[in-house]
Amino acid sequence: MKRGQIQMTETIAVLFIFFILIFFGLIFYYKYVDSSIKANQDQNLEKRAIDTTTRVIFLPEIQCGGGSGGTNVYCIDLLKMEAFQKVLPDAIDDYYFNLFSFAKITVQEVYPDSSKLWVVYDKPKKDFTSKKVTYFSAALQDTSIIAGSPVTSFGYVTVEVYS
Amino acid sequence: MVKNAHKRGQLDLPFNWIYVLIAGAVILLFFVGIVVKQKESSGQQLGTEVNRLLESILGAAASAESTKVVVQTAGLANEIIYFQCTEGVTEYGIQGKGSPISDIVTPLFAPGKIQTKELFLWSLPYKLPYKITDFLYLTAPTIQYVVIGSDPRGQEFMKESKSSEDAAFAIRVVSVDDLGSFSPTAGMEMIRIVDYTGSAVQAGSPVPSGLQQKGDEEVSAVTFGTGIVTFFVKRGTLWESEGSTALFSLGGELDAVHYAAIFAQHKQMFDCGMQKALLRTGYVSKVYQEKGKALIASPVSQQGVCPVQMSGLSGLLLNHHTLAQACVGLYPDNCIQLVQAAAELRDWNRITWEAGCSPLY
Repeated sequence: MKRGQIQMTETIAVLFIFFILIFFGLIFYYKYVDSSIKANQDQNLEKRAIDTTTRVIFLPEIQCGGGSGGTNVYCIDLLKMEAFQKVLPDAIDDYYFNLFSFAKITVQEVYPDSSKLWVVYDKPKKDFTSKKVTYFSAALQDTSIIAGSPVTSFGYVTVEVYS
Repeated sequence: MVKNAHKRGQLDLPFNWIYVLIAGAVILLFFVGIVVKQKESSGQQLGTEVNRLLESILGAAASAESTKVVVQTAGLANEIIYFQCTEGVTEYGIQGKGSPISDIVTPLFAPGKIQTKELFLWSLPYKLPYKITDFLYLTAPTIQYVVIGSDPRGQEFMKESKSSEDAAFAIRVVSVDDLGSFSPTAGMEMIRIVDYTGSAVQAGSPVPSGLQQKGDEEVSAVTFGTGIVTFFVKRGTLWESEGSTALFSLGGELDAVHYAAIFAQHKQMFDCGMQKALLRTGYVSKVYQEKGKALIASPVSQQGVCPVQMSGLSGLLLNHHTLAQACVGLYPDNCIQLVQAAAELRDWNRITWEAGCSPLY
């Protein structure tokens, strides 16, 4: 082999190793960025789940009234909730999507009638990559049965958020 | 031959070194560029993350009714947090860093800019007559509120400026008889005059001498008349009016609208926050209209005096809902009638409660 050929082969070998190292570096960097983005997305979804749940707990549209304009926390007025179900389809895109985004909110009665289930809000995200579910228990009040004293049953609210 | 080879060697050596230096410099520049870009984007990312955190904190405080919270922001002491609201959209975040937060739901009332180690958050329910939403107020220990006049609302503000649950929550409020002799307490960066007399602050009148050396953005005032509020800003040594607007509320204790006027630095933020609240009123009133129909049709409304009492409900709810929508469309012109309709509904609810029938709320 001539000296020039040897030098050329050396240069190519050095360049090859250099590009291999650059390639590994880029793969490592890509993996790092990808995992940190995923961790960030998970964190954001968890945050959104908590935010959405807080908003549902204190939502004036379904909260029980305290009699003087006040409200009771962890209590759902069934008449208001059913009224909200009727109002929501026309208002979901204009307003309530800003409040709950892609989510599903359901209320399940546990006692006395565990077969009762209400879907309060349903805006699914097609091709969602992850989902977080949170629950909280609530009293369910019906003011349409006995005048002046609401009939209370018990249930829980499920808040599912998608990303 | 030997002579030629020597010349080639002389050429080869510097060429290789020059090549290595240029390639090395290019590679170094490439990595330096990446580091600089990374630093820039991580700064922006950090800003966005802090803004999101701020959104979470404000969202939680706004959702929970009647809360007083102190948020430690010592890490942001060198940053300016800004708040602005235009056409029903509040935008806030750290100035110049990250993506700001936009919010069309929560009525938020705050100074235009805050630079502080602590944020005070306070929320109060807005009722018209039932609960519509929660108002969120933001302030800081570097903002001093100067109450003038002996109005019960001013006394209530002084009482409510502290929290019984958290000693750190202490809005700086002082009461003065004569604004002319007032000098701000040391360390106060912003002064807000809250005038219940209606005469201490007037358009074109001089700003008290103790406040004249402060910047225009650091001094503002609000005066309360009967159902009307007027906003003032400092322009040089004189007060300039930003305009007046009616207080769309039923009054009473802890009136959310009264506090909104105190904590919103400018009229624009007050109007914008009110528009957000009134937009929500349109939706909540529709829910109550539907609830009213179900209540009227329910067996409970057929007992005793309830049928007579319930007969007026549909009309009241329809009126309330129609006026709420008209108010949103033509704020503030059509909103006075909405407050009257809310008062009628409140009276109906009280009478229904006393009659032993199921009230609306």
